[in-house]
Amino acid sequence: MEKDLGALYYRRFLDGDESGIEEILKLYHDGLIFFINRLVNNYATAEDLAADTFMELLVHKKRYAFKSSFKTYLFSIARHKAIDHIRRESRYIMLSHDAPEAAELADIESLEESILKSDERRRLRALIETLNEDYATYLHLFYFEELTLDETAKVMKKTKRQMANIAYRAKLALEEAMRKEGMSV
Amino acid sequence: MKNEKEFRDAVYEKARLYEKKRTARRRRLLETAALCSVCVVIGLSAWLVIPNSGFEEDASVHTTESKSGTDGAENTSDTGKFQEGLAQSTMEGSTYRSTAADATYTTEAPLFTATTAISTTAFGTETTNSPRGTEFLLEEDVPSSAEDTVHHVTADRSFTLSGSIALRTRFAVLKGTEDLLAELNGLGERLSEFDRREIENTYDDTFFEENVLIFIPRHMTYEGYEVWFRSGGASEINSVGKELSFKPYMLHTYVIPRENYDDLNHLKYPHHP
Repeated sequence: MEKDLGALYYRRFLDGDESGIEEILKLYHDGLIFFINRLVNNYATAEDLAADTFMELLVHKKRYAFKSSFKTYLFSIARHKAIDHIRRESRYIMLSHDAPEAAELADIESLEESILKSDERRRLRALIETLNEDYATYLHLFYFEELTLDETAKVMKKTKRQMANIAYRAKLALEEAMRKEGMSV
Repeated sequence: MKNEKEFRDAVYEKARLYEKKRTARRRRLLETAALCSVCVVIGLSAWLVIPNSGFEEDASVHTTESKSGTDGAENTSDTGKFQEGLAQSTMEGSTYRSTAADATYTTEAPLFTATTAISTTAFGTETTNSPRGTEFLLEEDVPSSAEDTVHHVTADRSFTLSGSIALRTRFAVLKGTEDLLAELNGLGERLSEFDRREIENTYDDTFFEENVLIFIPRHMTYEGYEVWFRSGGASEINSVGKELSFKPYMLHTYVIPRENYDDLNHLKYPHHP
């Protein structure tokens, strides 16, 4: 079983070693902001929400029971924060047509550079964004955060059966989108 | 885009603010819960004790008179009703009122045990520099013959207090400005506006951070009571039992540092043999 580094670092932090939380910040910073940004479509907001997410680790130390993967736990919080933000702001980013400002664009590009690393992945991401919310979230978590089906179900607060259906349909939708773009499936 | 350090600092700052809000919220909840508990206790006590007529003689703690001039009339004030904690604003004015000039008291055990003890090293004597003791006048009608009545209470423990001091009819332990305001509201118009403002200005939040305040209204008809308590208490009651010939009712305030408050023993009203 692959070592859950996040859980190890968090255990260190709970045992009194502040460097544990530092390692967690380094490990998940980019991916978390990238994930949240996909939901809120605003880098500064995504960064702030990511800080809120990490803050939960500091103030609610007993909530993580080490039963699920640490990443699952963290991304669950992040998604929850993002949805709360969206509800507060009363706009859904998938329908938003606001263009990001130049400075924000630069931030996003920098982030994507570190996460996506290749043109292929960038194209994949662009295609994912054309799909519906549930499909896009699942595919993002699956491809870019490498979460399992079960873990994605926990992040998205779905049952395993629901998640299996979403996963199947999401992949079909992505394949269709890739064929239309002339990408190899 | 924040750099690594800025982002980390942002996370820690958010955590710090969250903890601050959480502490404040918990304190408010505890205070509300304490207030509600006291209200329930006092309400229940009043319901159990006070009969339909509104006055309770046998619920009082009584002392025997040591002087003549009594003819057996009952004092129907709420003498001896110790109440720990808040004075309720629902308490009637008759709480402090003596309806008879002379009083006869039976030797009954006290109904209430206060959970606060007040020890003193200068009991019954009025010190010249007693920054912690204050008197405030309460308006009250007391028949003049009450001034001739002196009651002595003997404690059944060995602490002997010198001088004559006022017998408490009730006292309130005030731990915060909310307690204080509730108590002042209970006193109503019997405390002058000037004194009320002075009390509010003197005993503010800063004061209550480090101290507990005791309110003891003193009735002129009582003098000389003894309190028994565990030795070692460090708090002082500095100004007690000053004889006044024309002001029948005084409100005394006593300050106990919070660090001493919790260590003090139960205060029990003295038993009569």
